[in-house]
Amino acid sequence: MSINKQLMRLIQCEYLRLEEETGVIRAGSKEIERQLQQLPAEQAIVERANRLLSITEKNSLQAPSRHYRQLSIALLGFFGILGGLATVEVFSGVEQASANFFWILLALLGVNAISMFIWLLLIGWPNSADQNDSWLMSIQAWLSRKSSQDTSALRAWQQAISTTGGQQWHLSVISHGLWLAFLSGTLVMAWLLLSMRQFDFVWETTILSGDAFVSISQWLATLPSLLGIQLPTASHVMVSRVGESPQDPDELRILWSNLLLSSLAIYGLLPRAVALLFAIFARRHHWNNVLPDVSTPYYYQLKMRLSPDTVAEGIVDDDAETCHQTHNFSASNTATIAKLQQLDDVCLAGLEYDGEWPPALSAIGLDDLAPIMFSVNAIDRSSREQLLSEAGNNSIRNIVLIARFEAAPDRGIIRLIRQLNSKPATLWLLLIQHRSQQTSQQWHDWLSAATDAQLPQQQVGRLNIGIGNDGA
Amino acid sequence: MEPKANLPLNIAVVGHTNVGKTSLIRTLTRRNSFGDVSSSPGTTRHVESQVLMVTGQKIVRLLDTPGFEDSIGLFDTIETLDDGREKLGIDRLALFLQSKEAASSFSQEAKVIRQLLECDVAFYVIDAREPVLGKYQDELRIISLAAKPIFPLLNFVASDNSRVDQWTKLLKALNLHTSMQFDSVAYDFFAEQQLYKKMQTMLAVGWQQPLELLINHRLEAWQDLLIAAANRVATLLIDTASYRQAITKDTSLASSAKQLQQTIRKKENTAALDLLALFKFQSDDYGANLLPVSENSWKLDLFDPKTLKLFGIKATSTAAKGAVIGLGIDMAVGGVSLGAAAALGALLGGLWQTGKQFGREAIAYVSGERYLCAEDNTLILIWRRSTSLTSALRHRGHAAQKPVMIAKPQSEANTEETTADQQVMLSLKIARNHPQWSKRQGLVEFAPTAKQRCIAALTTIIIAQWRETYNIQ
Repeated sequence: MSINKQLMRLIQCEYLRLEEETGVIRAGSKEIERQLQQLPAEQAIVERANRLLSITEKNSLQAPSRHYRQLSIALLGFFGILGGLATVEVFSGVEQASANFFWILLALLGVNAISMFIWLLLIGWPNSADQNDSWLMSIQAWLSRKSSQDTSALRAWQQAISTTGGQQWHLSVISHGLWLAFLSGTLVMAWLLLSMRQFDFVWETTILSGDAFVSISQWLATLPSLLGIQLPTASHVMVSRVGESPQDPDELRILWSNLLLSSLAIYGLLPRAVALLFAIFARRHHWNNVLPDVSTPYYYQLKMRLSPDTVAEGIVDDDAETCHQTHNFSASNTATIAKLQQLDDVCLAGLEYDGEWPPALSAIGLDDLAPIMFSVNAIDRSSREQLLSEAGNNSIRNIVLIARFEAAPDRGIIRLIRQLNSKPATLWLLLIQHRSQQTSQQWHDWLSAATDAQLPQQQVGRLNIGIGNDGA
Repeated sequence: MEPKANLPLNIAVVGHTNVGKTSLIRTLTRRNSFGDVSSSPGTTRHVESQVLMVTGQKIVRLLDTPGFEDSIGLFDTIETLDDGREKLGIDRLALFLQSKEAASSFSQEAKVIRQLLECDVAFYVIDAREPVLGKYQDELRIISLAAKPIFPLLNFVASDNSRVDQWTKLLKALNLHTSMQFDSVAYDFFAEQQLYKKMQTMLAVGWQQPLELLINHRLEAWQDLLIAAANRVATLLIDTASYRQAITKDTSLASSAKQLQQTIRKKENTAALDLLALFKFQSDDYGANLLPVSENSWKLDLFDPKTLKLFGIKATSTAAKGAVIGLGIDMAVGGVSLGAAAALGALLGGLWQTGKQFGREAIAYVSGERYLCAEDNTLILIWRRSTSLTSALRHRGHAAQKPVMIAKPQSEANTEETTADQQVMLSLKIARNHPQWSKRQGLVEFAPTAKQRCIAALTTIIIAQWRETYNIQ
């Protein structure tokens, strides 16, 4: 029996999974993954394992199957012999060479029939074979211990088989196979015994009617007679009853032997063989459709790698200016704020200030300031223009520009600061901080912006009016 | 005939500086390594592209652009370039791109305009926390010159101080009636789906089918991700529940307890890192408090009907319960159901297996061999913490910078079991009695199918509980 190809593929995937889950990444796996991106995910997963594993490894993955086969052959032989021995045992009970036909048939096929019936009942039962893999595995583990086999191969097998879920078919194949071996042994031994020894087949009953046995034997004969085998007729059966003396005992012996052997073959071996074939086909069908379970984290991630949702195409239009200036700042904010609060002749202006304009001085932390005037809050083109024209007024000595600390000082803002800074009045930039969050980067950004606008950093201050005061 | 769209759909992601354009792309592509993100203006200074794919097919190309910075100045420049003749917007933009300003002071903006002219759609990203300022209106005017469909996209809408209403009003005034809300930090998968669906309704017919493909693919991947996460959590829970720490003669109770705690914490941490990786986050995205582990000495209650049933003993009638254990071994339950009846080996094997396990337990019980295992409370805690981690990751944009924090529950002592907890604990009871599940004995795992089945069943329960109780969709 060769190993199912698809199952072998799954075993290879599982082998890699077990390896990769310990953190081992094989060389070339990235490249292979890239090449496989066009394939459907499940197929790509399988193909990836196929390409990553070496021939030696693939061969070593076959090993558990070899052990399994050895075990199977041994077991089949064992059960064949057992069948033969059972037959000998059954015939040894025959007294004075007159064998009770129906009793022998029942002894040889009865247990088989019951077992077959139970199998038929349970085969439709889902998951009934779940627990049974443990003994299979135990036997395999024991075998591989004996042969000091690669354990990772065995684990891969185990994982693959346990996730596929078709164990009932696998177990069915095993049980039908063993029964078939047993029945073959029975048939061969029965044929040998009937060839070498002489039995007179009789039947007897105490409480049943003789007609019942006649009809049973005729019913048994229906199928074999289709094959043209010579079988006992009703009259033959009648004369075989214990106590009758048949006219032609030789012919009768042959007819009864024919019925026994053909019954063994047709009612014992044939159903088992059919069931075995059915189970083999069902197992093959099941194994032909096994796929890695992508609902598990490992395969999900692998699937995502093989069939990515996104791909980076990199930079399309690069930045020509590679060097950006970095500044170091050391001005004391406290000193700037103190100076700000002592100013007179102040004109307050807003730089995209967020809130009511003009603001209450308490809201911007400048209670002590006595401004002589308010200018506008520059929030759009026209207010900017208005601010610039008012700032040009020579009577203004100090302009305090109020801005949100949280705003990003973009080039538009820098341009406005530069323009205001070129006016005769001294420009101060006061940043109002509402949230006391991470601030050092933003503070640095504003100081850089001021430097870009040629505004000395001593003229930039910040006030935290939010929760807590971490301005320093 | 339906016009065939020329894939992929090129989307220029534009907007003022620092509104989160790169963040948006990080979240839409689930790549927290894309580009540079900072609070400083002008972080992105080049145009970079990312493509959204569906099984190898490129559907959408997202182009990250530098931000507009001086839009008032830019608008003035474009206006002054006008030579007085009547011109279309695109011609005026083309004229600007040839000007010397485009190469000098407005080189960043020129990059944006170049992409605008080439793209199929523009996403105009807005920081919804920002006040509505004149410079943004100027930007929208410049963008509209390119005569491309504009999708205003309000970012950071989940923030306390977002001004969605003011922005929507402005957009409507500028004739932009379809705006989208999306938060690149506080991620909402269904808002993302909505985003593509709105594009479907607005764009030409030819784009509907590819976008449908993208929507469905994303949804499928999103559901698969939840299943994979649930599977990981189920594995963690089963591993933890089945784990037992033996108290041997050489070790003290205290050191065994410590060993147990370490092992369980390690299991939890590994699972958390696996979950992060699953959601495509890095390990530094996670900052958890140490799991408090309380241990319990494990004891087999030989007469608990559940235990009996587990070992193939049917204690059907109350009279028989516990009285005659030896006689009650029911071959039909102890794993001998199918192959067994058919194959002699299976029958013996199953019986042997069941008997062996039960025997081991019974011997340990009788001989006073002691084990420590995680207490139910610890398992509940692990379950809740994994749930809250999953929930957090489910709503975490790939633009998020702060680590996910798994808070310590207020009072561990009185963790009252919810129905969700009970459902989960019920499956863990089975694992409790399978110490072999959490370890590998020598060569191979023991009864892997039973364990796999248990994990699969718990995964289903977890997904159901997440959906119903914890609203993790």
